[in-house]
Amino acid sequence: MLCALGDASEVQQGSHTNNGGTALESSMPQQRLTLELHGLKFKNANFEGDETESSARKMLAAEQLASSPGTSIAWTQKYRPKAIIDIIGNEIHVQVEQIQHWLNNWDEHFLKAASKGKGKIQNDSGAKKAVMLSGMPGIVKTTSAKLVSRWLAFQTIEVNASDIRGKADSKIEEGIGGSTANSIKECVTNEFLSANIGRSHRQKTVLIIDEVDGMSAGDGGGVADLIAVIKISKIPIICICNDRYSQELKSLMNYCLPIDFRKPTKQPMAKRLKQVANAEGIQVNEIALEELADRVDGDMRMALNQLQYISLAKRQHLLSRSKDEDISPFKAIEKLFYFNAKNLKIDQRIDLSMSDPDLVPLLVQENYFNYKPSSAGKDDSDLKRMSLIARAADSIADSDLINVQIGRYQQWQLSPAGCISCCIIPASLLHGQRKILEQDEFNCNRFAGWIGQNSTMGKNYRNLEDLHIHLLASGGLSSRKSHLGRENLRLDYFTLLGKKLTDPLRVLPKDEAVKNVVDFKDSYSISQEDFDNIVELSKFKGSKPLQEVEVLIAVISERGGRGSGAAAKRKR
Amino acid sequence: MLWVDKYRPKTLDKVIVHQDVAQNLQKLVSEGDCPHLLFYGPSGSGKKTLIMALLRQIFGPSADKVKVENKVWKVDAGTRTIDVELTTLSSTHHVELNPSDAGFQDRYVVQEIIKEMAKNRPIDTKGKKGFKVLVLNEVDKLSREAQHSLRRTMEKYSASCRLVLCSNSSSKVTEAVRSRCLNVRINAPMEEEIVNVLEFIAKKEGLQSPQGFAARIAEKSNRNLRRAVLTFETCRVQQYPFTNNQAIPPMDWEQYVSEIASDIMKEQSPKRLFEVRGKLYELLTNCIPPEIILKRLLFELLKKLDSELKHEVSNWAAHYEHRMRLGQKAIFHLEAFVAKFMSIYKSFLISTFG
Repeated sequence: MLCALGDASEVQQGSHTNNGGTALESSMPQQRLTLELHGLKFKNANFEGDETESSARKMLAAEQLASSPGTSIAWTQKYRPKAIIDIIGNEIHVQVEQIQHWLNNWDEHFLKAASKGKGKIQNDSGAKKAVMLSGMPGIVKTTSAKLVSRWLAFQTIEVNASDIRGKADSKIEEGIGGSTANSIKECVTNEFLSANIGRSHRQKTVLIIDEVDGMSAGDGGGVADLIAVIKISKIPIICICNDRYSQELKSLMNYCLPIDFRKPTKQPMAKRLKQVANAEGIQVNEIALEELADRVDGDMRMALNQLQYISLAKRQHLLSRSKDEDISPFKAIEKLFYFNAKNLKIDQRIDLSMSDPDLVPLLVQENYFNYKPSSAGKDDSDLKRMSLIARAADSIADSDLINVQIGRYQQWQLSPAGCISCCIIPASLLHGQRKILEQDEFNCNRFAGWIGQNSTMGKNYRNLEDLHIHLLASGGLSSRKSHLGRENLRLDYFTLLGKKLTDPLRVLPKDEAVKNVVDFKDSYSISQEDFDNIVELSKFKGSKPLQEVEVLIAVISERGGRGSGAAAKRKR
Repeated sequence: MLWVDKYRPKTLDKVIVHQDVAQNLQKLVSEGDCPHLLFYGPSGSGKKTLIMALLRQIFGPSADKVKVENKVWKVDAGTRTIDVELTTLSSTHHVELNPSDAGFQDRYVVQEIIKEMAKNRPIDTKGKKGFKVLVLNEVDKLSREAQHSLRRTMEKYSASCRLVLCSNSSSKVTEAVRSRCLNVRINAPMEEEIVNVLEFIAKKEGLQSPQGFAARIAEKSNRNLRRAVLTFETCRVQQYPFTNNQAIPPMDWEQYVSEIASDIMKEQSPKRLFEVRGKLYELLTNCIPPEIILKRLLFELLKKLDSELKHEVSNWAAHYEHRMRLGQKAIFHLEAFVAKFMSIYKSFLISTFG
């Protein structure tokens, strides 16, 4: 047992003597202090039931005995690394050595220096009185700290900041900055005292303060107090946190030697998981374990928890568990239309098409007729294929109706139906080998053309609307003020407008033509942009009615600006 | 100024086509009572011209003094506010707007904006004609919800406001709305009537039009008077004096659609379908409304089809046209129609010619 905490009353006394100076603490009810020290004591008993290394070994053996298959201890406890060798991940060994080295040299650095005079400690910048282990959850920070201490025959006192806070006081604000700090100071100084008494076999002690960042969340004073503790401490202190760059720990970091723990790679993790699985007698294939290791992102504790859960749920489950990978839309299309895709189960297909519910349907729509359906067999005339394509197109059109219901009326229950009609039905009709339709086309799925086309259409409609408003607003023509429809403008007016705007350029001499066109533009309030839009909108790919005009358009664009400027001047 | 605007009849007694309708409207207004009106008929038949003439008849020349406003309305739709952008054309007596421009938010236009306008009763010093007219265009494009909201507005504010609805097809206006209006059907003008109009214009412009030239334009115009007048002027720009064998320029998009039709007839394959899709996109991005594309495409296909297929193909066209209206992505439905046609036609060809 820890001598300092061996007797609660003794400590109580000690605390009185120690903190007699501070009025605040002396007014504290005694009972609470006792209780909280019991808490500390309980913790110590729990983790460090035995003092010496040899007895620790004994306990190890006992644990191993207890870990025969079938017992209901959480695996995270059961398979916690028992020796430094057990700790996985090459990188971590470096850290472990660092801790080891630091602990070994601690006494020489500080205790001996301290006995000579405190001034020297500050000068020794190379060594710090405390270390800060940082890293993600579940990557054996606490475990390594404890194992190293045990290995070097240190006694560990683990202070779990959040834990103590709960036990010590109902007032959370107190935290480590409050009364608990006293008990820590207590341990630190008492140990020194007891050491000084000069026992024959001095038990070295190390204080592990876990979840330092959690502690500081309660109150600001905690960290400051901890720094004070580090300053006066006569024993090594190991602090553990998840993120050492957090703002609260900034000041504390000045007093600590930072040691970063990186997450282990997945192969050693999988290896360890395999060992656990073997010990538990479950059959798991290694790919699944690697997958598991990959998915927990280095968190060994979570991996063990999951493994245990899976083994409880269903022994065989992990064997058949398929990878739940992040699938790209193109990959999804490929899989859906793969010539062997008929073997896919319906929920696999739904998963594939739902991997990106916006893009996958558009990709299907873009590419569906590229596939030569394997179900059509050999028909030279492509008759069967054409009818399958028609059915697929029909189904895709269905999905549009469903999407309107979802988007406009929030009928989300329809989304599986939408997914089936837009992806799964076309895919199941047409899956097969992909054929190219054009000579120099790559044989891979095209990106959804609809997106680009739709945005072009939107842009053109906006331009048309601008023109429409200009025409409506064209001044001085009161007689034609009627709400000419936008569509009719495009359908009926455009041919004439285009001619009116470009034909004079072809037949008349340049200056006259420009004047002619500009006058017409002005009378209808057609701006230069509108003019360009008219030309743009009445151009069709493949047809060439306006191509000869293009040159002339350049002329009018160039002169049009000047011309309309002149027109504006005239008006003034 | 374009002829189509220049020679638009301005008053009800000056109209050349639909004189009977004009007379009836005149009588209707002279009695002082004006019900809600629904004008329907194909594009280019003179609905708008008649409506404007009617407004002038009611309110006099002040109906001509209009301003164009393009503004964003903030509509409070329960949990969120929606911005609806809308262009209106308004005089002191009437407001003209196109509620279907708001897309599927059109019901907010009807519920909030139109209601707001309908509520405000114009102040007339004489105490006469104390109502204003709301002209709503393209009512057939309104969603069902919007049309349902409309009927309540029509009843509630009938004292202060008259609605004049204008649409291409009465079948897309709900029964409830139709029954609240006086329905005025405006037929497409007969070809002779169009010829009369064209000759009237030619006379006014002092042009020599050879015999039968106007008739050819009228025939090409598909009984669309606006298009006939526009084409007439296009011909004038293109070549004058007119000659008897002068080519009537087709509408650019119509030509393109007929290219698509012959593409489809020539070959039915995935490759061709891919090409057709590109062309359909081209039409759509050039702001040709998908319904018009489909209709025109069907028309062109029917010209070339064997009679036994005509019925089936028309049926499918109607099917996809309906679904296109319910849906959002027009290309899907157009493509589905083309694919369907290819499939039908291919099997027909194979069964007939082997």
